[in-house]
Amino acid sequence: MNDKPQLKVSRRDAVKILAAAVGATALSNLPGKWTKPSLNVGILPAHALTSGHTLTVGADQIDNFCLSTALVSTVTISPADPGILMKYTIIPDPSITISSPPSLTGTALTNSSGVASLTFTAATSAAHAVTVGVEWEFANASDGTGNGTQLFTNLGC
Amino acid sequence: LSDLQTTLLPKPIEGFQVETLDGEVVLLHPTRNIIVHSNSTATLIWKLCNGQNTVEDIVRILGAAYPDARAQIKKDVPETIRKLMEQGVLDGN
Repeated sequence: MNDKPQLKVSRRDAVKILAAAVGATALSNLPGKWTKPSLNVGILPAHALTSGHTLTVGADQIDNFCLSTALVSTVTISPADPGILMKYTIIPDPSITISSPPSLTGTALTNSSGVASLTFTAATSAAHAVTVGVEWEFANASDGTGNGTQLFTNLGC
Repeated sequence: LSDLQTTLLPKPIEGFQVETLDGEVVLLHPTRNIIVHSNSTATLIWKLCNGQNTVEDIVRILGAAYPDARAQIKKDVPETIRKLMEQGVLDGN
């Protein structure tokens, strides 16, 4: 119950209120005439649900990989769940050689802390700063949303 | 409309993900496994249920926007809100 005074609404006011409710950009989607409202309610099968996971990649790093060096990239999902398949893509500067893994893309599973990791080996002889990025995303969109890139920078050899 | 229905201040229950397409809305509650599809007019009613409009306000706003359908709107709005409350999409307290 409430004591609100009754609104007197003109058609112009009503359209303004509807515009505020649905968003001005959606105003063109207002139905031209009133039709019977309908609701269809269903229960989703478990496999159709998104888990609502989000991801956070590890902090960017400054490393020295003038000599071939193993680097570790991590991603953490929230809420933490094990066994979530994460896809990585290694994106190196052209002057960087990635000697392992053999492919620049692949997958890794999260552990019980929700962390997946990739160990890769990088080397460069560039005298200037160069960067390799590791982009992470969910291999299966139903597991969660978002992506992120962790950067590894060599300041020069 | 009963007195109770007209003075309710329905508001959305949190936790629903909202997808809008061509004025229609799909509400998805990931943990309750529930999915609700509403057509454009049911969507209008749902969007006006913001915790500030009473049921009567909503009837009046939509009745002014669609004057030819006032009588139908007077029946449709409380019925739709009641269904949304029964499905746990709206809170009427």
